[in-house]
Formats: sequence, structure tokens, C-alpha cells
Amino acid sequence: MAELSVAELSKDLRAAITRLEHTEGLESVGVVTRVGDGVAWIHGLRDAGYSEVLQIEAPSGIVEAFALNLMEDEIGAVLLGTDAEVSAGNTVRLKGTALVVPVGPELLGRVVDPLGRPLDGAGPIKTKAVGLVEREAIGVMGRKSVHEPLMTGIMAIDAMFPIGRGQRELIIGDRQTGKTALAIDTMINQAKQKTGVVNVYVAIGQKLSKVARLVDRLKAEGVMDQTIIVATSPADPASLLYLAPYAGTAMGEYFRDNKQHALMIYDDLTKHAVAYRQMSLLLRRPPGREAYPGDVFYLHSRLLERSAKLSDALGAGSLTALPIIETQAGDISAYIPTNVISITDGQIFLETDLFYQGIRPAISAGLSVSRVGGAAQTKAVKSVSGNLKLGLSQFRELASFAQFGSDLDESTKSQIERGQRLTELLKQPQYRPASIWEQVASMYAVTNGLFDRVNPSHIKDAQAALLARLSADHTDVVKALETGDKPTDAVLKTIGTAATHVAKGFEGK
Amino acid sequence: MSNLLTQFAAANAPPVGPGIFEALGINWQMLILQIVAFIILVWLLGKFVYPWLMKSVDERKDTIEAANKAAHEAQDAAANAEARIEKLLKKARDDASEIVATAKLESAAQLSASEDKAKKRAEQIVTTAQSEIDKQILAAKAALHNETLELVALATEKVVGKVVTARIDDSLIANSLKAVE
Amino acid sequence: MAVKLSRRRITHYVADNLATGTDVHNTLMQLAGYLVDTRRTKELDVIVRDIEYALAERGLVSARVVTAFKLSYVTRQAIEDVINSRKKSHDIQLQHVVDPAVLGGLRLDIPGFRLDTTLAHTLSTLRTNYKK
Repeated sequence: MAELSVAELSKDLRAAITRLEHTEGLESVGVVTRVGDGVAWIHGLRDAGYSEVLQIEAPSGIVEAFALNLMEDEIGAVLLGTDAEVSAGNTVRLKGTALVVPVGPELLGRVVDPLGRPLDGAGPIKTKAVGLVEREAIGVMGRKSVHEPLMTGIMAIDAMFPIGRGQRELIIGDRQTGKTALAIDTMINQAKQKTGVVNVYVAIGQKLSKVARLVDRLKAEGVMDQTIIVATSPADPASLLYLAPYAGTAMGEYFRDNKQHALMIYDDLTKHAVAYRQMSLLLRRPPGREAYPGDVFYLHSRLLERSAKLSDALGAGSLTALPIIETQAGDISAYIPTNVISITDGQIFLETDLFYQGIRPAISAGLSVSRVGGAAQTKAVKSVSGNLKLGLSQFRELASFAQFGSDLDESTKSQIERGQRLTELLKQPQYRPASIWEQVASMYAVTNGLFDRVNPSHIKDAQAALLARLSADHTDVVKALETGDKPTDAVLKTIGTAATHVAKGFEGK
Repeated sequence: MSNLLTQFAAANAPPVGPGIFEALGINWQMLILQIVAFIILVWLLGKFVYPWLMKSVDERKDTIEAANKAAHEAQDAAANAEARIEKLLKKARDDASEIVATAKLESAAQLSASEDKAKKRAEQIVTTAQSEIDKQILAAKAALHNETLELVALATEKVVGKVVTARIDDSLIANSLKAVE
Repeated sequence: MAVKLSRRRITHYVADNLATGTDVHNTLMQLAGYLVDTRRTKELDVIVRDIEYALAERGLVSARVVTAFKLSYVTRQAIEDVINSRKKSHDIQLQHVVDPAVLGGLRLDIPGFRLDTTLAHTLSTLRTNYKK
């Protein structure tokens, strides 16, 4: 528990006074000629470098900015604080460094802004290391192909669009389709399955009430201890929204470079692009398509390239990215969505129609893809998911015929009924990620017809009953499945028997 | 009939003297006729009556045998059905108890989960309250730090304004210029 | 109608003339007239700063010193030595301002550089930069 200590207070003050004695000498200075809309135009500082940090002496203290426009006669610097404190005539100094943020395990469990300043009121953060906000991605030789699974706990994803450590998988959909919910469940699953993966959630222009709810939820699920939240609200300057994903990535890279695994969630990059557009227009850069600057692709490509699986020589750590993009009216062919789709290694597309039909997560099996695929899938899940994907694709083809129930041949009917059961199976409540054994057992039961006599509306109940039975009576099977290895025939037989018994209880309902 | 035969026999019989047969009272002509008549009778019976009789008897026998067989089969079927019913009932009882057991397991698991959840929530409330207190203490520390800085600066301003003379200022300036060089 | 010239060209033209001492009065009148004619009077401050930079590159340094008391001759010399060490110059124009508000020490401004060891600045730094 924190204590109010006079000795500590005195020590801080003495340290501050001691630092004052140090004279900098003749420093290179410039002067603010005009300021507005978060941009300060500075005269002088001819030695300033691109993206170098500048310190503006405002009456209330130092306001930092970074130089983005180095022009012949002046520098356009984007303020990292509010421009209300800065006025023309203020002296500007070079800090002498590029933009850095504190990085390290000390940040775990904390909510910070893109400059690493704590927002949760839980005291200052003292880290041993700092990381560059803008940094080059690892080269080709420093990488290894993605081969380890990152289990999201969401059956539909782990079965059909598996994500691997080091992969970039885009989550894309309209507003209120469950994009953030998918990301949160993935984070919860890392804690539940004790994978050791560190979560870094970057909230770009999200309502602070939403961030607060997220923090509460993560604390309730016991995930917050392995999570860092970098939060910016719509009220923050566009410069902070622009920096947020890069700062978050710097924090994630610390773990990647130290033989650990981290998961980045950027929520969402659409707001990031909008903030960058705002900054660029205020810096008088020429607008391109949809008024975005010409380098908006580079904005996201250099960010996402930093997510990678490192080679064994570099420690075999990984940084996985789940960027989120919000579409308008399901248009995935718009400018920013197509940009990010072409950068990432696959996408999970969420459809509004499916959401309102009650299919949640509302994942479109037809439009979603994972380019890494089976290489990053757990063997246990892989062994049972082949039929699932096939069954669903057949159902999709025949779905429009479902209304002609009595006029169809038996084989078509059975495919439709199987598809309905699979669709029901893949529904999953929020904040309840499924472990490997739960997924394997459930998928095996449905794809092998063991629940064919269970009414589709009772599939979830039957699934719950099966899992309860297995966890109570067959802990050996549960343990065997949890290893992730391909299940043996004996294990499958046990699951089959249990499923048959359970199905009997639901017959005729 | 026999009267008829004896009548014929009596009518046609020549008178004979007394012999063994007469002594015994046996009329051998009558006997032969009776024998013939008996043979004819047997033949007639055998031709017309006996087959019909036998057929009836056989039919009756078949019917009885069939009925017997059917009865046996019905008995067997009844026995089998009973056995099957018993088996089904047993299976149903087993299934029912399994369902009940599963339901009990689920409810126990849910109960335990609810208890755990409540416990966790209580712990969280305590932790949250603790961290709130810590935050308030930190905020108070920061406020005290800032206020002290302000007071120190104010006090220094007041004092320095009275203490610093032109000579002191000169030496201050000389020192700072030396530090720059 | 006057042609719009870049600040750089204006600066170099004026600085060249001032450095060589050629027609100083006329040059300044031209500058003033041009700025009024092209409605660029708001850029005056920036242009003056640019001219100061350009003159400093040509060895003519314009410096401004603020102290709480009058400067002695020795101190003035020391200041000029410091300026020379940073910017090689053959002519230093030292403008001295007495401002009791700085309390003590000096603030020296030369084109592109500043040395601020005033007590007022130190106290202001204490108040603002070390706040939690």
C-alpha cells in the first residue's frame, strides 16, 4: 500500500533542485512563429532531424512536439500536447533524441498514453529500457515462417481460419459487429490457457468509457496482469492518435526481442488513418484519394511489418498483430480496407446480417481467410476441422434450398441439417473462449453425426452436457486432448460414446 | 343287412345233412357270404369311409399340431418380448440415471462456478478499493510535491530579489560564462 | 504589380547589402516598401530573424543580453568572447537590456542560439518542469 512519506518527498525535491544546477550552455533554439490545430510552425533549429523531438517552453511547462515537415524556411512540428499552452514567440529546443517510449515488463497491467505516461493513476512507471516509436522492421533473414498456433478460443476461427504466432490477421466489419469482442476473447484466452503471450491493446480514438469497461472486464477475467493498454480518446490531439499504434508496437517488440510472445491489437486503424489525414492536411501536404496523403499505405505497412516471427538465432520470439478496420455498409473494397487487406496475412470478415440473425461471432466463412492456414493449427483441431469447413461450405451452397424442406432428396436434406447443426455449434457467447479439448470434442461430435438426432436449437445444450460429462468422467481424455496432439482412436471412441449417450437425452425434444 | 344276407343264405341254401358245422351250428355258406359281405363292407369302408375319416383325423391332428405350434411360438414370442421390454426398460433406466447424473454434475459445476465467481468478485472489490486508496495517496503526494515546488520558488524569488547585488550578479554571470567555455 | 519573392531571396539580398555596407538606408526602405506593397508585413519578424541568421553567417552577429543589473566592461568582453567561440565574427553588435525581473544571471540570444542562466528562468524551470 502506498504511503505518504516526507523523506521521499524531500528526496524528490532535492533531486529536482540538484538537476537545476546543471547549465546546458549555448543551446540551439528556434521560435514558434505560429500555432494552431495541433501544429506549431517553428523558425530556426536548422539542425533538426525528421521526426526529432522538440521541446517548446510554454508558460505552463515544456510541451513536446516532433518535427514532421522540414521545409526551407521553417519546421512544421506536430504537438504532443494541447496547443492551448503554446503561443507564438515561445522558445523551442531540440531534445536530441527521436521519439522513445518506456518499454518493459513494468508496463504490464498498466494503462498508458502513447508517450508512456500512466493514465490509470497508479503511480509513475519506471522502466529500465526505452524503445523507439519509429523503428525499422526485421529483415528477411531474421524471420522464421509462422508455425506455432495462437489459439483465440473462438471455435470458428481456430477451426477454419487458424492464426499463428507472428501472423497479421485483419478483423474487418461494420460498426457493432463484434470486432473488439473477438479481440478481447483472444486476450482472455491467452490468460485462461496460460500461454504466456503478452497482450498489448492499442485503443486509437476509442471512447474512454469503452476503455474503462475493457479494463474492468480484463481485471475480472484475470487478464490485466499480462496486458498493456495504450489508450487515446477522440479528445486527444491527432498526433497522439497517430503515434499510438507505433508506441504500442515498440512495447510489444520488447517482449518479441526478449524471446517472448506478444499479441498486438490495433483498435482501430480506420481512426488511425483519419488522424493521419488530419495531420497531413494541417501540415499542408498534398491530398490524394479520399483526401488521404499519398503515403497512407506506408503508414500501415511499416507498422504491420514489425509483427513477425523471429528466427531461432534471434530468440524465436514473436509479435502477432490483430488490426481492426471498420467498414461502411460492408464495403471492403474501400481505400483503407483494401490497403490493409493487401498488407495482412488474412482477414476475418464480420457481417451485420449474420450478427442480427443471432450468429455470433458473425464470421463470414466465405469471405474470411487465413493465409497461413494449417501450418499454424493445432494438430488436434486440424484432425476434426476438415469436415467442419466442408460441411459449412456445402450448407452455404444449399442454404437457399432450406425453405423447400419437404421437396428435397435425402442427401440434400441431410447436408442442410448438418450445416444447421454446425452453424449452431459455432455460436459462442462473449468472454467464454473454448479450450483445445472443448473444441475438439464438440467438433468431433457434430461432424461425425453423433448429434444428428439433436434438434439444432438444442445443440449448444448438448455440447455443454457432453463437455460436462467428459470433464467429470474422462479426465484422461481431456488431458490427452489438451496436449494438442492428434487424438488417438481410443480417445475418439470415448468421445463418441459419451456423445451418443448425451444425444439420447435430447432425442425427440 | 345281415338279415338280408341270412335271408339270401336261408333262401338259397340247399338242405344239408348234419355235419361238424351243423353240429356246431355254423352255416358255412352263410359264413362265406358273411365273409364276402364283410370284405365288401371293409372294402367300401376302406374306399369311402376310412379315407374321409383319416382325412378328418389328419386334418384335426394338423390343426391341433398347428395350434400347439402356434401356442409354443406365441409363448416364445411373449417370452422374447418380455425380455426385450425388460432390456429396454433397463436401458431407459440407465439412460435416465445418466441424464440425471449429468444434470446433477452440470448443476454442481454451475453452483461451484457461481461460488467461485462470487468469491472472485468479493476479492476484486477489496483489491479495487485498495488500489483506489493507493491512487488517492499518490495523487496527494503529487499535489504536495507540486505545492512545495511552488512555495520554494516563491520564497526564493522573494529572498533573491533582496539579496542579489550588482557585484553578486557579476560573479554569477562570470561563473556561468566560464561553465559554457 | 510586385513579383512575390521567397523569404530566402529577400534575406540574402538585404544581408548582402548590410554586410557590405552598400546603400543600407535604401535597402531597408526597399524592404519596407516591398512588404507593404505585397501585404507581407506579418512576415517582418521572421524576415528580420532570417536576416540576422544570414548576417551571422557573414560574420556580423547581432546579440541581445538581458541582465538584472548594468554590465561591467569585463563582463561584456567575456560575453563577446563566448559569442566568438560559437560564431566566428568580426563585428558583434551587443544590445543590452536591464530587466530586474530576471533577478540575476544573464540571458544571451544570438541567431539560432540562446544561453539562459537567469535566476528567473531557473525558478520557472523548477516550477514547471519538475511538476508531477
